[in-house]
Amino acid sequence: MKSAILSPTTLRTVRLAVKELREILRDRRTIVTLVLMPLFIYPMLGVIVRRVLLTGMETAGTAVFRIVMESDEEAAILRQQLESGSALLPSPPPQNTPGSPLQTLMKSPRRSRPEFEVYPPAPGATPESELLKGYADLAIRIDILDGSPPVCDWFILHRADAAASVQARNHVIECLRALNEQWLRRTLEAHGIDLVLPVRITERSLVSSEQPASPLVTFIPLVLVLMTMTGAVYPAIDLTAGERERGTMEILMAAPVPRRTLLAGKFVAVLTVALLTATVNMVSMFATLFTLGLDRTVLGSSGLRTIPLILLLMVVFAAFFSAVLLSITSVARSFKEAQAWLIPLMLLSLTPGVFSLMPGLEMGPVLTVTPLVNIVLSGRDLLQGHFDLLRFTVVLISTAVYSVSALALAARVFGSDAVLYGSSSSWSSLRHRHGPPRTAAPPESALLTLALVFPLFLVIGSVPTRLTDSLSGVLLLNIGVFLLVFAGVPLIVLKATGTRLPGGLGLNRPIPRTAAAAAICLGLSMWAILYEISVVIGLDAEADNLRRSLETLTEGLRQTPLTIRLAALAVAPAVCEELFFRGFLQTSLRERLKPSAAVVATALLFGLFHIFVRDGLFVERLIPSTIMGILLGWMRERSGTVLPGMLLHVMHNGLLIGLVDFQKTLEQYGIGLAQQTHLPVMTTLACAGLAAAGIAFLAAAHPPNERPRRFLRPDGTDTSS
Amino acid sequence: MTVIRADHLTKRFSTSENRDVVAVDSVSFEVQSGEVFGLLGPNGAGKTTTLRMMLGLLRPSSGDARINGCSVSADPDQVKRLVGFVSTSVGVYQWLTTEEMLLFVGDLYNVPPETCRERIDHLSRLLDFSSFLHRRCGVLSTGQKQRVSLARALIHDPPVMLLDEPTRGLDIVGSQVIFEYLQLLKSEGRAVVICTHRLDEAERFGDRFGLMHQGAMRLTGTLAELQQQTGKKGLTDIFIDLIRSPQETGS
Repeated sequence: MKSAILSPTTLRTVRLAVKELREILRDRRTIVTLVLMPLFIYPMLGVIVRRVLLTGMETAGTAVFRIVMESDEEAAILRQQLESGSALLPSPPPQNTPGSPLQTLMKSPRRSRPEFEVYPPAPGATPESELLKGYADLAIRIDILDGSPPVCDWFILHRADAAASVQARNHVIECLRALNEQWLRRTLEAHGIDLVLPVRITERSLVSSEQPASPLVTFIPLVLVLMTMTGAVYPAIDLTAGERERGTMEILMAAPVPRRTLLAGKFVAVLTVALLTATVNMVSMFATLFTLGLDRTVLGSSGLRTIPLILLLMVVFAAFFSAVLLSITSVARSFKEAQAWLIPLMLLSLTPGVFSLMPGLEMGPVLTVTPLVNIVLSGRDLLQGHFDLLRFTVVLISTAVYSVSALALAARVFGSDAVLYGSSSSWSSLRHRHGPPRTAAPPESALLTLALVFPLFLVIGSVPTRLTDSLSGVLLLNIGVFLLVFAGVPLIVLKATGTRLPGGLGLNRPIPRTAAAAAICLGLSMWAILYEISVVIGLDAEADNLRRSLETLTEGLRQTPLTIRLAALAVAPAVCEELFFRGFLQTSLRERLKPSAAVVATALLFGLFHIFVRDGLFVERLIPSTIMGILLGWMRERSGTVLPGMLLHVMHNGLLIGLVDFQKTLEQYGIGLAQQTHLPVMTTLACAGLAAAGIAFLAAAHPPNERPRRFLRPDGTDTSS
Repeated sequence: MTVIRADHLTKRFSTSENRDVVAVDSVSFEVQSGEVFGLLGPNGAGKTTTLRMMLGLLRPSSGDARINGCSVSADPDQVKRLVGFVSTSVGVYQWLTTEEMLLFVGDLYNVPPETCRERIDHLSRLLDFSSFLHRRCGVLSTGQKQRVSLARALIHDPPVMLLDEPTRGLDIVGSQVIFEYLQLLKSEGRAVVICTHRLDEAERFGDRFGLMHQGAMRLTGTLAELQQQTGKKGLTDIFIDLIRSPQETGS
């Protein structure tokens, strides 16, 4: 019956997946990590969140302000006048609906007015010192002046930098004004004058039934995504690299079952565990919110209705991430090597995920199809009550397409000869040297370095502005940051892995003439090409670059010497980025990938790097930076050295700075970069011609035969000899 | 009857330095049914690579192998159905019981569950693992795992057996189990190829031998034929002479 419905391959896949799941789930560590941890953590967090919220509300409802006064007599006057004044104030409007969950939870009436606690200064202390030390919210002195009635002269001291002090001061002033107003009114009435004020105020407050979600809600999708990733990592490694390490992969490979069927079984198993993790996390999280009565407070009026859609997002994401994981862990030859490969992936995934939490980040067309970010932002929008069917569908479809692509890639590498029977490597390759010096850093070491360099640059990059106020100083320190991060870190790794230094950084060859000519032509023209591409495809990245440069070029910065500006903003980034990306990383990736694949992979990472800036996420920079990266990578391949790429990159950056400097002059010639309009036709044509010449020079350059292919006999002799 | 025929099998690998290394260089031999063929040589001689090509795990760079007339290059899946493989590593699934693991492997070879249970029953008596049939593989001793691994290779009743260093890491008792296992296979008329670098052991169980060195097959024949060809007494002497021979190493 069953077999009539499902094909034999499907049934085989299911049986394989069941076996894999049986193995995974029998390991109690898996159960504890995936199931018990969320069941424990969320209720604990929920209790803490509720406590914090309640404490906040209680504090607001029962505010007691402390006033320091010198004498009891003054204190008695203060109490009497404040009580009289407070009684004259209108009742405050209700801030919560009668049935709001938190008020129900509190089960205590909300006190409408603050209270005052008056006390004398401590021996040796003055009212001012009590106030400045934060013991008191206000310091008040009342002088009683003769008259009929006697006039109370209030001197009120408050701290402008303390919210409670300001609040107390406002309330005291309101009370006293109310007293004065009442006296005025009575006096006028006593003289037979009917007081009619020119302005009448009627106040009414409304509470919307559509309660907005708490800002906390933005974290929920990211937490779910992270948990799903965590759930998928262990089974993905265990079912691929782990099997190979334990020697069971050969059992599978020796069986007459197609590799893609074996992979499909593993994919279903990893996906199931990832979904199980996501579901347990979701259920635990939302059940905690519901049972503690926090669902409306945290999720807003959309409440728990969004759960099915969130679950759908998680299903698609789990499929995508499981496929990506399998495509990576299938390449690894051991458990440790798989972990080494996954660390950069996790960091690369985490960074956009965390950046996507930034307030005010809108999900534009690019972000809608950006993996992971689109899931986090969709989840955020759903929980905030914004559902756009078209955007949601695009997110689902694009993620599904990425899943299929990653799975196709995994099918190509899973169980391949090279992976099964190649030499093994592990973390130890980071520090152990084997045999003669390497010509490039091991790829897993290079990827780990990349994972380190991304956050390191974001953190260390902020240091110069904290060390000095001088703009020249900041710029000079920036040079140091670039050298330290993009040259220093790879140098340490090259040294640790026993890699030859000039070759490991792509510096083992002088600059060929044709490549130098190509670099000059492209360095002079690429700014215009990238700018036009950005304008044509609707991205304002290059224009945005210029605009941001303009913004940063304040008068102070303009006054810094051009040499410093060029060194810090053009030369240092170009040289260091070329050393790191094309020199260190691309050279290393060529050890494992074909040259063209190494160029594209490095260019994509280069593009990703340019997305992240300290102030936010500029996804629009991905395409122009990646195009530039491909060009620079190709140049490194054709010339055999990073030097022409450096030249190109320096010229490109230098020209951008020059263009900004001479912006007003350029505008006179119709080059309105900041307005993001097309360049004059002649400028575009000239630059296109230069770029074409550059590409022709590059195509004519003879790629160096760095590693000639030759056959070796097992005894090590060369077959060509 | 010739069951296994290796015909100029050659395998080249690319190293990380982008150089190609010839791991197996035009290796040819034949194995009859009921015959145990010892593929001998030091570590790195190319024995395991030859075996993996014959099994369809590795695609030959050139040449071919035929199992029961079926080409490994043309139809590797059919070859896999005909071959039982015992690997160097005793790979078992840590969290499955012995029975579950054997049922799983039987399923991979499309053995019906009932037939598979009968085979498990038969093999558990032959290889003496009935006592830990329902025990998790992860807690078994090395010798017990070896028995499970031997049974696993026979679960689909293949006419051809390929064994790669099956005695590595085993004590005398474990090696004796392998010896008895080979006798069993031989008595059942299976064609067996066994790779080993332990030449003393090979003399005990092999009918014919192939001596590999540096990827190439240097000598083939029965022990008597090899003794006649080289004038040496044992396999060890023959092999040491072969390795030291200047005309061999330089070729």
